[in-house]
Amino acid sequence: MFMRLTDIVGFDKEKRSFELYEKEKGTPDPFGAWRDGRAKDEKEPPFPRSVCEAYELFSKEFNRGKNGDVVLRRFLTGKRRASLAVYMNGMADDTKVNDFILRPLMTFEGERITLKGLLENTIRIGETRRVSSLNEVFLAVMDGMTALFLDGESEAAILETHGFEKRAIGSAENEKVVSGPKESFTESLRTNITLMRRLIHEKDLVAETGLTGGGGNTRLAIVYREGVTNEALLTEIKRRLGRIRTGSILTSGMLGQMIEDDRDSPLPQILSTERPDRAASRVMQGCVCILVEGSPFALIMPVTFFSLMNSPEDVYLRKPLGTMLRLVRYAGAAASVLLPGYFLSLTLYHHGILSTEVLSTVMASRMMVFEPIGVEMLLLLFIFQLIREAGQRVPGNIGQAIGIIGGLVMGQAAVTAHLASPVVLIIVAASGLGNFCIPDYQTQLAASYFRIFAVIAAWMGGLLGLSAAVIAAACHMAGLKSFGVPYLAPFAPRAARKRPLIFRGDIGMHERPDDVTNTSFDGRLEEEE
Amino acid sequence: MKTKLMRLFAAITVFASIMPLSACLDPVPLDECGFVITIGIDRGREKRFYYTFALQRPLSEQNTDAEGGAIALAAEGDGIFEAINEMEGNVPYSLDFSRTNFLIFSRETAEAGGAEELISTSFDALKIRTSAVMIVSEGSASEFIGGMYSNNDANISKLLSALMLDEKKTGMVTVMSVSRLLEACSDGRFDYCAAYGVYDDGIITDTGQKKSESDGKNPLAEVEIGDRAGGLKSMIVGAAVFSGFRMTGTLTRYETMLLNMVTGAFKTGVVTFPYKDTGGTVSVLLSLEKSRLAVGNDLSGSARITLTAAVHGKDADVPDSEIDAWLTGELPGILAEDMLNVFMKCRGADSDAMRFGTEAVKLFSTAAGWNAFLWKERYRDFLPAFYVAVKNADKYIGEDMQ
Amino acid sequence: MKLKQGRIGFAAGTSLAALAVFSSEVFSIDSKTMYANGNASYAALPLAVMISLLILLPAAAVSEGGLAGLFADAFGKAGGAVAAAVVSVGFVRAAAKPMTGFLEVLARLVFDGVPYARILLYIMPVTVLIAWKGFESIGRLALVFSGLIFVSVLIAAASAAPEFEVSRLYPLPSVNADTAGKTLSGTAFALPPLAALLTNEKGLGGKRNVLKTAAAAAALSAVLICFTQLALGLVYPYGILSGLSMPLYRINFLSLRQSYALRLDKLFIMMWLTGCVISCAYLVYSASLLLTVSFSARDVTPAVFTLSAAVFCFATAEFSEKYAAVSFAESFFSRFGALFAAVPILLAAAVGSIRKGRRIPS
Repeated sequence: MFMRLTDIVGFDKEKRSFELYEKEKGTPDPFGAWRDGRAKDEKEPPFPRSVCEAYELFSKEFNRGKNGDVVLRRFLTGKRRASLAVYMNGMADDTKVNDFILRPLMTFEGERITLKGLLENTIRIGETRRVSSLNEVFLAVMDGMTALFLDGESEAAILETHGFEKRAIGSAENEKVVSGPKESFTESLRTNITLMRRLIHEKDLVAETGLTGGGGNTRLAIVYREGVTNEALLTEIKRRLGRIRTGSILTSGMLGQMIEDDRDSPLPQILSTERPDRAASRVMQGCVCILVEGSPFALIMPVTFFSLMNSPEDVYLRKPLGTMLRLVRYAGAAASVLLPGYFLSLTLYHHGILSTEVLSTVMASRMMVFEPIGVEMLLLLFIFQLIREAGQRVPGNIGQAIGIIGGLVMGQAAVTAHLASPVVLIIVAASGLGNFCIPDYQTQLAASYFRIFAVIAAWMGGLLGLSAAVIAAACHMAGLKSFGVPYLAPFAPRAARKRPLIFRGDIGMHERPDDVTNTSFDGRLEEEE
Repeated sequence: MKTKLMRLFAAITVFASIMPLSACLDPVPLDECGFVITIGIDRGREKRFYYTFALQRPLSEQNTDAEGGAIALAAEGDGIFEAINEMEGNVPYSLDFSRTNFLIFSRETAEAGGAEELISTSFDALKIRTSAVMIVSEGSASEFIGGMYSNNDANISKLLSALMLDEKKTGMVTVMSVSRLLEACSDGRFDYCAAYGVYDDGIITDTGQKKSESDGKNPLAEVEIGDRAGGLKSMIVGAAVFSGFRMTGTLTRYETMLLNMVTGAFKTGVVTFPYKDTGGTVSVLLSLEKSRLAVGNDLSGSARITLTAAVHGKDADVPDSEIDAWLTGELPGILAEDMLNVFMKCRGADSDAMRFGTEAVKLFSTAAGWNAFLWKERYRDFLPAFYVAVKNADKYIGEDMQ
Repeated sequence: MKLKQGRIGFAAGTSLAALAVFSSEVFSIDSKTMYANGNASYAALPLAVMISLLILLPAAAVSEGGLAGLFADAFGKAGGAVAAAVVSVGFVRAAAKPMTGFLEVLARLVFDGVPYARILLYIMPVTVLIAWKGFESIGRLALVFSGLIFVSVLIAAASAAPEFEVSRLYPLPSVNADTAGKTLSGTAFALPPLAALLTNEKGLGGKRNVLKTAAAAAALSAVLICFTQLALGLVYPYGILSGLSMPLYRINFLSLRQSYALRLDKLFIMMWLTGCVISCAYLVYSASLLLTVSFSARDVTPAVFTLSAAVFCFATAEFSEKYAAVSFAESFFSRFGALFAAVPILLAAAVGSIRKGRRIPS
């Protein structure tokens, strides 16, 4: 019983935490050790030596009777050697398969037919390789490649024939900027990597692709700069990815939660962005970017609170304008979180702070409102959240209309019906607008829900309750880490930084990587003499 | 996972058991409060005191045509808490004193030391800020408060503040907070001086003029030559000097201005002096440059005041050069003599309103030495010399204009 | 061992110690005693801070393994544990006394007649949470809030500038027994936060950093304390000050023009309370660490909870009806409290330096 109690409270259990400043002891299994997506001890079927064996094997493995899109094409290479092409209809490009694989092979007139020779001379596909592992063949076929078997060969050829339909590159819907690139990531991993490469013309840029998840269902790419990004950070990320054991399909959002330091925290410890320019800028700073197949959001790590509050537009504008934007943003964020609670504490407990005019105005505005001011505040905050969620779920112009209708009509109706007072409505509206100033969506949500907590604390204890809530939140943030980087860095702890924290420094200050990412070198080009 | 859930459950249990113990800290919503802006204290009929509270009326569309912006509550009581209990019995809100800015005592109450009882026991309990300003009214305090009502501005506190601070600009009013009174009475370095006001029922206020106008009459129909018109019925006319907590005398506006010059509270003000024996007058804008008091070990004292003066107007048929000479030659003597008269008046009222005690304390290196000195008693024999220097500001203006 | 020390840098350490020294000194003043015979606080309290630094320096120079190590080296394991317990009492008192002042002001002047215990239940969980989080979180939290808190003190003091009068400082303090007594009582509150730096030597990254941090924190806090007490002395004479609890809260009560900026006393007091909470958590954690290491316990958490409870018991004891029975303890501490912290440290430094001298081969 005593032991259980100590277990519950967690006495003497040191919580393992990753420090970016220290080298990780030992190295994890190489990333992609389970590329085949199965546990190591699972036995692989023997490689088929004949086309018939291969045909039977693939029919069984891919449930050909039920699976209508698996294509097992038997043919004769050079009109004499039995061959089998395996691909997924819809994943592979039919034109490539027909024109660059089947036709050349069928019309082959050479004397000697070997897999190596065909790959070198006949098959007109750019990316090819030979494999002897069936698991690799299975993964390749599921990925949109074509597997080629020749009767009697001990290897199969994997031919790049991706041809699935994908969405065209569109504009970022959730991270709009006025003066800056408009492109956003798509669901295709290949396209996303390409978008990064278009922006980062450095040969040290590495896009390490692999699989994760217990079943190897999730294909992703880790993008970083070799020689710049901290090795310990990379090792730790790969270790966390290797630990994932799940049968579900992972989107970037789920993947991010699985590798975060503290999953219970409402604050994100990974930046999720749909903008390639933002991702590229962070990678240049020494961060690591994870792109996930099927997800148009990139995951950037490590992040700090200040990097979540920065918008790419800050550096696209001139220094004074960028600075003003940031100041407005921080003021908006502070107002969003603290204004409702502060107002409530003044009207319930600390009337003396308000001037006589404001007191009189608030008293007059609340004359016919029947509910207590705390209930009124919470009700309006709740309605605000409702309008926000409804506006997001409903598409296009109707969504905008809901925002306008909800805001204007309901607000006015609430005041007329004495459900709300104008002053409280203004406070909630100002707080809501301030919330939208926060660039990161998850941080926005965390702030908008924290303010409800702050309102309740202010309702119960006035400025004392509000202070207690703020201190508790700050304490949480002070102890939070994102892949070894303290959340409030470079302010707490202090880290060397060229550029100011809140003000937008000179554009030259944005050349160097952040000290918090502990890069191998400062990434700055040598000055020309 | 199970351990984590157990841990979470334990934390929630602890938190949930603390929260009912704490509960809210007794909030009082804004609309359930009545904010007392001004407190008036008079001698009571059946009880010791008669308290008048002026409350700020909530401003709304319905109230813009109402008379004034204040609600008055009044009740008798042996102490302020008794009066408050009496008042709260028939008002649907609780009284909040956090915005009380003015305390108005009737002369009778101030002379009897009524300030001591209110200020020493009640301030913390009622949460009245010690920045509240004290005014002594010639008549009753409740009458004075009534004279502050105006239809032009429903914010009575703003009216009073504006009245006080505008008056301060003329230099003829002393505005001191209650904290000064407490300081004066704590170790006797100086004595307090409050603004002294009167209520003049004969003044046709802005509200009265508006009413006449709306009735179709000449707004000034009832005003005769020599009457005051416009503004409020209550006004500040000088200063009330105190000895400790008791009021012991009054000063006129001119005397208050001189007092302010000596204490350094004076900034600028215009005074009209009779010019020699010509029967004419000269209006002089005076500005204080510096004021230095000194008290010696042998209880000798001096007050050295430097002023700049500019002639604003003259009603005497005298050349400017003569007036310039009068400004720097004779005016200092007139001012010094008048200051001495004011000092004597204050000393006669047993009041160190000129604050010579604040210089006397500098002679001592220990608190015990100062306490043993008994300045209040020695002050009765203290006679400082007043030296006034006047610089002619017109000369500088004249030079600039060239 | 689960000690939750982490690591903080110079900036965080300085902010933390300076905040703790400032809060302990300024908000634990017993006005009746401090301003009884004149106002010498603007000289006595900064002097107390400097004396505390001088007490700490030799101890830090000879210590190996922080304050616990110093005691163990000087007095042996058992003796070191006893010394640690004695010094921890000083830490706890330095944590509790400012809390008492805040409770009184909050209950009397901010919230109308609310019981002290109810107010405490808003402060207590937060303090325990911060102390429980460990040294790293405490240091970073101090770094986040210290700037705001110090600026609020400066604004409060500076905004009362129109009411300053030099004559209120008179009679000026002189070197006498009274001033010496005030300096000594100030040391009781200045020494624990500085000594706590030595306790957290590992968290600060070594002896050298402890010395640097202590010196910087002492200098910064001394300047701030001097400025604050001077401002108070220019606004209120000693006669008034001796009757006020937490006069800094009322520093703006005199201003005639009551604009919005001058009515922020309630907001400021919450900021100062934040500093007090962080300082309290810091002292509680440090005392817990000292005891845990000295008694070779494996986890600092039980000590954190126990000492937090002790702090809050001390903080509310004065408001208890039964206080008279234990008031002799407070009067004892107010006279000899400095010795509780200073004597074991000085003694350990002396013994330690002698032993170190013997160990160095001639």
